[in-house]
Amino acid sequence: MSIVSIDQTVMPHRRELCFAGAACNLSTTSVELAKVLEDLSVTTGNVGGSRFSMRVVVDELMTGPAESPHFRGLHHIVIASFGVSNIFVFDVLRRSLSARVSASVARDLQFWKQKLIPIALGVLGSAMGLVPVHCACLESEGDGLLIAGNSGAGKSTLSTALSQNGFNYVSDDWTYMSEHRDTLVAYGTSAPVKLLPDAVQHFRNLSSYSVHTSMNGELAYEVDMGSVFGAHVVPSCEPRWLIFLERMEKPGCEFVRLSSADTRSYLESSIETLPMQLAEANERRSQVLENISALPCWSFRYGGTPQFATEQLREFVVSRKLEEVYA
Amino acid sequence: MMQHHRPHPDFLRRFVPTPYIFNVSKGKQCACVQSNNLEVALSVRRSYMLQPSEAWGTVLLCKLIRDVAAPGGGSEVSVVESGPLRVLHMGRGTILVYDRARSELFGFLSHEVDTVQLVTSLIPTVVGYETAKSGTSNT
Repeated sequence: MSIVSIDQTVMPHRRELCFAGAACNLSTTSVELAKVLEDLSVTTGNVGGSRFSMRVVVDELMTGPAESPHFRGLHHIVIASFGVSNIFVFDVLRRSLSARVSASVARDLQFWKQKLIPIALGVLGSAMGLVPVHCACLESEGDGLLIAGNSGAGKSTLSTALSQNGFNYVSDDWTYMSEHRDTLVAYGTSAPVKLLPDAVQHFRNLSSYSVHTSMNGELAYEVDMGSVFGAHVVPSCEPRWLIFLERMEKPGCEFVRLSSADTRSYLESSIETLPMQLAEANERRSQVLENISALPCWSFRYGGTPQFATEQLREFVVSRKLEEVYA
Repeated sequence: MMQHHRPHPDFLRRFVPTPYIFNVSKGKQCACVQSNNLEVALSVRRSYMLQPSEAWGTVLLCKLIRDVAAPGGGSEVSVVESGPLRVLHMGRGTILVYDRARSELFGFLSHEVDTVQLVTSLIPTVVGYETAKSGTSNT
């Protein structure tokens, strides 16, 4: 039996980091891990009261890679393990993450970038008023456009096409929403864009990459939006509009205004249910959801290529801005 | 369009019903045992009544899920201590969490863990009784 006491382990490497607007106090035994996380930390200038601690003991004798994940949670605790060498304990009430990891995982930038940081924000975010919402986020001249929709609706494909056509990229799958000085702010993480195999017909440069099994079991391309598509990636923006994306068979498109009650209903169904032990977190999250629901919201149905949809959305954004100018 | 959306499934298995509930007391101490498995609930209740008080630490609530979907394999036991938490892993599928400050013990048991092992070894280990008795520690 091995016992790792995080409290009694000397952790000489300490850093003040920031992920999706949440401050993170890192303590670790590994200078390499401190460097990896420092590289992923993004200071946005919007850091509010959100803060969590991350304490990581690196077992230098263990060298195995991260295995397939296993998640379980009860009450305020969530456990994620990636094989027996890599165990993460999230305490939502105390806003803390304690972990023991192998030396190879500690040095694996992709593991922290693609998996652990998004997971940590998803799990601990609720206690910090940082709500993960299943939507993409693009930005144009300071205004954020949230694109929600069911899995398979084409959010990532459309986000990629928009990023190649004048929009700045914030996120493609999960966007982290919080309030900063009474303003709703949408944050991305540095997670890669996930595109299903058929996206290669729209983006030819994907053909030089290979698909692999993503964390939810889907076969997908997972590539860096900036380096692969030349997108301008921004860490956060203020969302102004929310679009629910739907596909239709016939060519064309239509925008239909939705009520905030419809929006709220969608948001409620897309977020994880919290246990009663996290009632306070639930209340904070509810307030953020209320503010997201208050955004002007449309259903956007289209048939055709993502490039066609991009043109329609560009015109939509321009006309919304003009309407607001003349209102 | 909104009718198409379905609530997220319970990936973490946080909301598995635990219909087997026993309130047990020993002297002035009492605890609530909850499980989705009758054998687990009965074994834990019996153990609570028979074992020395120290073997149960400060536990007031014990909620254990027999986790049929948990991955099997491996019998290595590891314990991670952090603040008021002690977390025990056995193999990949068995997880026990003891929150000393909140007097709660909860977890998930893979099909490979039997109730004897649970009450004689795993629970005493995670609450620190077994470790204190044997003086085991490698950190």
